[in-house]
Amino acid sequence: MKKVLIISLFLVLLCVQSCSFAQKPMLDDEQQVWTIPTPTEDMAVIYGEVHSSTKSSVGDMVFLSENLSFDDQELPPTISFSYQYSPRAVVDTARGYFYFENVKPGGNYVVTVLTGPGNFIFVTQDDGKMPLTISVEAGDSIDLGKLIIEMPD
Amino acid sequence: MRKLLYLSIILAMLFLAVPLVQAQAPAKYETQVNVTNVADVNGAITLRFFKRDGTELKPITRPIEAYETIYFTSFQDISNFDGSMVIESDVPLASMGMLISKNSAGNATGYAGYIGVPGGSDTVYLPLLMNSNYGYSTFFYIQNTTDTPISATVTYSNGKVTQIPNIEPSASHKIDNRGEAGLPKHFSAVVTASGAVAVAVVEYNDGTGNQLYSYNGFESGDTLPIFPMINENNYGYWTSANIQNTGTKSTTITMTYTPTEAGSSCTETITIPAGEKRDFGTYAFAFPLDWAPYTVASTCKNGERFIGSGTVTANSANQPLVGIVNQINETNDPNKGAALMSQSAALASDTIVFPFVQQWVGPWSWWTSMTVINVSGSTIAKNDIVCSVKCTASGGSPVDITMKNPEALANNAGWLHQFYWDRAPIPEGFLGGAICKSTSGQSIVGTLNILAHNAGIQVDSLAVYEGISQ
Repeated sequence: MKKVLIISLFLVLLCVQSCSFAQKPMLDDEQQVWTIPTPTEDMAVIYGEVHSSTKSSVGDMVFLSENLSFDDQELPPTISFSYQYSPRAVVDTARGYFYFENVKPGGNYVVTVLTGPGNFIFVTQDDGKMPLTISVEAGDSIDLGKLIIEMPD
Repeated sequence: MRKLLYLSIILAMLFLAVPLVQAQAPAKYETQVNVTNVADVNGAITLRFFKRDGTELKPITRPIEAYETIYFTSFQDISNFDGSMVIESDVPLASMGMLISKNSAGNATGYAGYIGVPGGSDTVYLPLLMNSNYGYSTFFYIQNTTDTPISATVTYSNGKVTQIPNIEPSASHKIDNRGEAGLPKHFSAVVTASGAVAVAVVEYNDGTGNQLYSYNGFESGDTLPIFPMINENNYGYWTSANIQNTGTKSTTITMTYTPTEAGSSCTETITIPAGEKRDFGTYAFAFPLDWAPYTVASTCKNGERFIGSGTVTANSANQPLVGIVNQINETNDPNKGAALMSQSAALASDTIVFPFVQQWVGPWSWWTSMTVINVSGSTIAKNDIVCSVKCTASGGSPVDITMKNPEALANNAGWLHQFYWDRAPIPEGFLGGAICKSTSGQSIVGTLNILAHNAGIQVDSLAVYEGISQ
């Protein structure tokens, strides 16, 4: 049930957001082109915008981590990511644009912002608590839309 | 052969926000851990979850590739889980935990790092504990690392004894020394138990400062311990090396200080009664010698800027010693503090793992500095120590760089490299780890300092941990 709910939320988010941004180059005031890479046949691309609701900027420490206890209600949500093997986003820190490329198909991804050693912010569902878990399949190009996180001041 | 890794603070606190009673103390603590597979083969790690009553939940198993570093964290505010976690693997792991104190608004106020321990011991030494000592106090967790219930006894250096009748398997018992009756302001302790335990200590400031420190209890002492980082009169930093005599006889200790970046060589000599501790560095460098409450003989230049290492070079009665180095800044960049454990040449190897290294990352510009000390007893040649620094820089671009000691290192001399801003060879935005090896097989030890350039004076962004010998 938990899985169905989260995926449903995600699909709603996807439908609402993806049409407006998908795959189009975006220009800023300096006419810099921001190009979302095209996914390969066996990998996915995840992209969007991430902004801070506080005065502190998000920075470029954006990772795609995994919720290891996604399917087990009894276990505490347990997130992991790997320095070497978890996708680290390419980030336009000025405009908040980001993308992950070469994302392996999977059903338990969580966008994670590292604000310092051991200090994480996870992109959550609307309740602001449960992590927003993302599913991708090979060849997907998924737009997460505009994400707002509360960076520590 | 499965290997277990214990991080006692993590085990006790990973899933809990721990409120303290006093308003000035941190409102809560959070923890995170990373682990590195230090083998050149792939393996698997298993996270085992235990409820407080000892019931084990379904474990999580995850593959870990050769030399891969993985972060783990959890959601303190949404979990009903109240218990502990054990990391198990079929490959050797090195680990570093990060403890973060937060204020009532949820903002980080202090950071403290410590390493995981592979097993435990039925006797554990705690060189430095405090009870409202100029605002500093300590709490510690005693974790049962066996499969059966155990009892434990804490014997403090002033003679006070605290009995703990029962600790369930993999569970922890917490003791907070703040306000505890019958204790002086600063002291040491020995934990003895009916089975193996791991002990982790947190030093916190409940006054106006935000300093946070942590260290692991020692399973054994060394007659000639090593302190890889001594940092005196350095932009407000000073270092206090508290050495505990864990033996049965009084002994006279001489510490020899060797600079790595600043200062001059010198010695300090203090007698430590059996079971007690004494403070090295403080009165030799940072405060007037005649402020010491016991006799201190020193050839050091009081007030001199010194960045280097310290090694016990004389121990008159050959008593086992353990020590904690506190690095403190209360002036130029106040609210900075961190604790390092003394190290042992006898336990050193030719390889050190640093699971967490970073260079100028994030909005606060986090950076690190690494110190590698030659403890082989002979000179290590230039370029003999090779550090493999791997992972990613900004934008996810891969980093795979080797660094070598740029100068020959005499015995007890150190190589300091600062992963600072745009300093070569590591790019800005690097986040990863390092493995350093003496290619000629000589013994080395090391430490790593973590600091945020733009954290501001109210945040204790200084954290340190010991390089892990493999």
